[in-house]
Amino acid sequence: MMASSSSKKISVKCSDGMVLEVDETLVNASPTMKCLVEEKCGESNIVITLPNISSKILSKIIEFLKVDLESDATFNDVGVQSVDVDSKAPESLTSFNNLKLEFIKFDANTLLYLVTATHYLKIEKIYHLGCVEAVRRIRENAAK
Amino acid sequence: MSFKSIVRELKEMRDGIGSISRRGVDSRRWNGRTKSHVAPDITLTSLEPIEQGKWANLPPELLLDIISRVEESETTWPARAVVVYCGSVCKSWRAVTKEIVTTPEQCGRLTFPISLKQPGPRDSPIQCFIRRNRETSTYILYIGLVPSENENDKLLLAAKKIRRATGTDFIISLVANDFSRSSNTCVGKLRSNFLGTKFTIYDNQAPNGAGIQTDTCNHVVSTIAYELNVLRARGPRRMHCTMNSIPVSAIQEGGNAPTPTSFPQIIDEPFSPSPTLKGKTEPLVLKNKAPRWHEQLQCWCLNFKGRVTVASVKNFQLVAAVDPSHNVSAAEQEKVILQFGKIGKDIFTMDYRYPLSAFQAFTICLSSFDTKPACE
Repeated sequence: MMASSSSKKISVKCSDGMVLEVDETLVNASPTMKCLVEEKCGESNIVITLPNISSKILSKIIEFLKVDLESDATFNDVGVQSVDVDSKAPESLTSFNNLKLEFIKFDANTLLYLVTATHYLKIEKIYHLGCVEAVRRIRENAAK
Repeated sequence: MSFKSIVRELKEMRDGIGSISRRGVDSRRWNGRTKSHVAPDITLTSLEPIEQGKWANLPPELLLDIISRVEESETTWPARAVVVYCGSVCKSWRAVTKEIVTTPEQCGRLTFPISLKQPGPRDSPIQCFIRRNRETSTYILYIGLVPSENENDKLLLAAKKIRRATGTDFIISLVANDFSRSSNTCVGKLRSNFLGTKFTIYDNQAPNGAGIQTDTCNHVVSTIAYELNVLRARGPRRMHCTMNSIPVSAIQEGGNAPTPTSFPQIIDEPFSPSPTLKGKTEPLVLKNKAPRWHEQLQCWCLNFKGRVTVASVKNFQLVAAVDPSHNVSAAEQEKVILQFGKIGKDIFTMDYRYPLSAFQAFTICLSSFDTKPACE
C-alpha cells in the first residue's frame, strides 16, 4: 500500500551527516528504527540517528522497501515469491525479479554494507536477498 | 578490475594469513578437480575485497548466517568444495566455517581433509569407490556410488604400491601425484610382510590428533591378518583386523571412537612415538563375515546389497568380533562396518561407517589387493 503524502515523516540522520526524510510507514518496516522512534515519542520533531549507515545505503534500502510495500506479492521464509493469482501478478513478479537483479549489479562493498545495514535494521526480506546474493558470489569464486 | 587481478587479490589475501597458509594449501588441493561453471549472460562482479579485511570483519552472527547458508546449499562433492573455500578466505571465516561444519559421524558428509581421519556415520555408510591403475601401481579412492560419466569425481585418498625385498608398502596420500613420505600430503602407510599374510597400518598422527609431521609414519593404527581357511578346503580366507586405535568401548552403549580435529603441525624436532591406546584398553577387532555356501549356485555368497557385482576373492564384509563379555548389543554386532568388492575391471566399491574412518577403511581394503597366492 502506497504511503499517503500526508503521512508523518521521520528525520533520519546518517553516518555521513545527511538527514533523510522518511515516511513513517517505511521507518516502521524496520523494528530497529521503530524502536528508536518510540524512545523519542515525546518530542515534537523526531530525529533518529543511524551512526553506522550512510545515506547512500539507506536510500537504497528505502527504495527497496517502497517496491516491497507496493507489490501485492507475499514472500515466504525462503524468500520465494508466492503470488495470488487474482492480483496484478506479472508486475509484482517483475518488481521482485528486478530487486534480485539489482543485488547482482552491486559491487562487493555496496553489497557488504547493504547486508550489514539490513541485518542491523532487522529488515528480513532485503537482508535475505542480500545473503542469497553473497552466497551466490561465494560459490562463483569457489568455482574459479 | 580484470578477472586475473581479482583472483590474484583473493589469493594474496588468503596466502597472507600466516597460520592459515597450510589450510589454504589443503583447500587448493581439494579444489583441483572441480569444474568451472558456465558464465551467465549478465555482467557480474565477484566478491572482490577492494579493501582487505572488510568482508573478514563482518559481525560474527552475520558471518555465521551467510556461511551456514553456503554449507547447507552444497552437501555433496564436487560442489561442496565451496565450504572448504569459505574456510580458506581468512581467519574469521575459517573459525566460523569450522564451527558450522560437523564431523562425518554427525552429518554423514566429508568436508575438510581431516574428515578422512574421523569416524563415519553410525546409521548408514559413506559410499566410495576405488580405481586401480595397474600400470602405475596406484589406487585412488573417490567419494560416490560408482564412477560418474563425466569423470568429475572427488578424490579422497591415493595410494602407491612399492615393492621391497621384505614385503610391500603402500604410501597413502591426499593427492595422486605426490607420494613422498616427507610431504605434508602423506597421511600414512600400509606395510606387509613377505608372504602377504600380515599387514600393519601406520598413521602419521595419534588417534587423538596429537603428533607431529615427520617423514616416518609411526603410530600403529591396525594390524591385519589373513589366514587360509583350514577347516574348509579352498574356502574363503579369514581376515582379522586388530584396531589398535579404536577401543571396544567405541561400539558399546554410549561409546565413542577417537576423532582427531586437525592434522599434525610441522615441527623440526626429534620425535618419539607415543602409544596408541592406553595399556589396559582392549582394542576393537574386526573379522570378515563368513559367507554362506549356496548349494544351487555352488559358490560362497554374501549379501552386498547390490554394491558388489563381480565375484572375487578380494570381496569382504567386516563386522565386529566380540564375545558376550564385551557387552555389545546384537544390533551393533550385525552392522557391516566395512564392505569392499569388485564391480568391474579395476573398479571396486568401498562402503564404511562408524567407528572406522575413510583412511582406515581404505588401507584395510588395500591389504586385500596384496595378499599372495599363499592365501588363496
